[in-house]
Amino acid sequence: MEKLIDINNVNFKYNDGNYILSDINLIINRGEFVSLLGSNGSGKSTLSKLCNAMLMPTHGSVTVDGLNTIDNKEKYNIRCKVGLVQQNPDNQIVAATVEEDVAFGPENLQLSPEEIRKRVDDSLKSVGMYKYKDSSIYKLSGGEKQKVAISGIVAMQPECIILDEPTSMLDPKSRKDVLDTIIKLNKEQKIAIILVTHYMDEAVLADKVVMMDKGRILIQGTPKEVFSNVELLKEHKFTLPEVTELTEILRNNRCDLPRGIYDEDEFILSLKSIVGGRECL
Amino acid sequence: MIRDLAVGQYFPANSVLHRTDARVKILNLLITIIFIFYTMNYFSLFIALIYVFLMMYLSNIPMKLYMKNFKIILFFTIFTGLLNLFDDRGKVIFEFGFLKITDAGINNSIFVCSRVTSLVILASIFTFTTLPTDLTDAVEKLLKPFAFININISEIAMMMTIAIRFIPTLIEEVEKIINAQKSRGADFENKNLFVKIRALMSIVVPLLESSFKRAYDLATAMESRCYRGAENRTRMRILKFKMIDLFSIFLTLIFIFGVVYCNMKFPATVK
Repeated sequence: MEKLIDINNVNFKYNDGNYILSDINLIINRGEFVSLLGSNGSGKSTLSKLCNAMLMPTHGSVTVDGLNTIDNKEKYNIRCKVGLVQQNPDNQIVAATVEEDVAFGPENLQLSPEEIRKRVDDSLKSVGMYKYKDSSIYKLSGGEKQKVAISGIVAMQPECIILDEPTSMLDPKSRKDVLDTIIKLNKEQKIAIILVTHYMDEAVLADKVVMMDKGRILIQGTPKEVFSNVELLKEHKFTLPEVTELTEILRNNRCDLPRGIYDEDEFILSLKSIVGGRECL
Repeated sequence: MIRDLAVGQYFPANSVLHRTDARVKILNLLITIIFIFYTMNYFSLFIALIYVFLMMYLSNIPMKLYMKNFKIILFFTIFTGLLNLFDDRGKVIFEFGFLKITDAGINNSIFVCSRVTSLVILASIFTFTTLPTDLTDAVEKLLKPFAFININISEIAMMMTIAIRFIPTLIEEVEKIINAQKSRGADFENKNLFVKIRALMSIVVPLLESSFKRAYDLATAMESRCYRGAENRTRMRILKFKMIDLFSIFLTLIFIFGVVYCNMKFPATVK
């Protein structure tokens, strides 16, 4: 796989504060879905801002598609490639109607009106908000606003979208809706996704899970690799996915299940295989 | 709910007025308002009212939205109408004690009420039919000639866009804060001025605090969407002068001519 974002030995601190991030090494590949987990203050939002040149590393380097974020000339090229969606949908929408807001990014890229129109329509269709294109922002629900915010980034045709806790202010139904949209963009348009989240059930959807604690990467890998390290995660007070938790309890009671199960279907299959086809459920 | 206030909100519909260029609409609005206050007799007032009703019809906006706006200013209209009833000049029609109602007073009152109402309706038509971004674009274009006094008009237009965008959000925020403070026992109904001011502070401080947070987030969002100053942008919607705009200007000219003609032809009923 071709790498898109290369975070190499990054340390970060604000002017004269303590280090917020230390020794971060992380590679995001093209079209990859990465979830970034960690408690409040673990530095995950800071890390996401380093990826689109909103912040510069104190030591080390961040390169996006071969462009170093420290290079001021490339700042806007980098932000075109890596879009950022924040937590509160209300605070990131600039214009009063849906299509005007989606047009904001392409307008900043100084595209022609026809091109902007085309991109706005396409991106609204891709998040399923096209029928709301003329409506006022304040009439939309939280989830719809968040989809408009995502659409505003998609219209800039990025290679990667960073979503900083995009669902934490939404009700469960909107949360699912927004997540489905994110997955759809990843699958259909091959946009790389960095999903910063608190929720385990969101994190396991990703190709790669990165766990952070106190400004360091604790562990990274496929969900299976990460959730095999139950002791490490427990030591740093992460809640495990329910299925992983249950597997662990069964393992502790001398039940011969493999480690790193995070998916219900997989759990049932493994359970069936150890009870040897007998009716157990 | 305060949120449902119709003032200053765009209402999407497909009408002649929605399609008219925002620059033309602003100029039309300013000119017609001036001439509505220039109506001197019932003939010219009649023409002004016909113009207002025609615009309401052309706007394709449901009547109940106008009624909503109308209700808000109803008290104000009645109040000014009542004040104008009492006039020393003219023939006395009613008299209770020292209060005299004269025919001149009644005329005054009718004129003032219809002028104020027309003004509010025309302004509502304008905001209902004009997208906020079109409005700010138009202001930007119309202010272009004043660029020499060294103000950045594009930036001002961007600020206006954002301000308009955040009105409903902040209103919602105020409602939330009021409820939160009430549930902590804040006293908003007290008649005492000092208590009132103290209660107000308990709204203003959290509101300011959260506004700073919003501003910070918004700046991050705008920067990460490649915003680099209001001048270095293109626009999706370009204001274009069309046949509809000529039609709209033509209507306004007829209206002006009608008002001026009637004012000259017939004797003035109000000063």
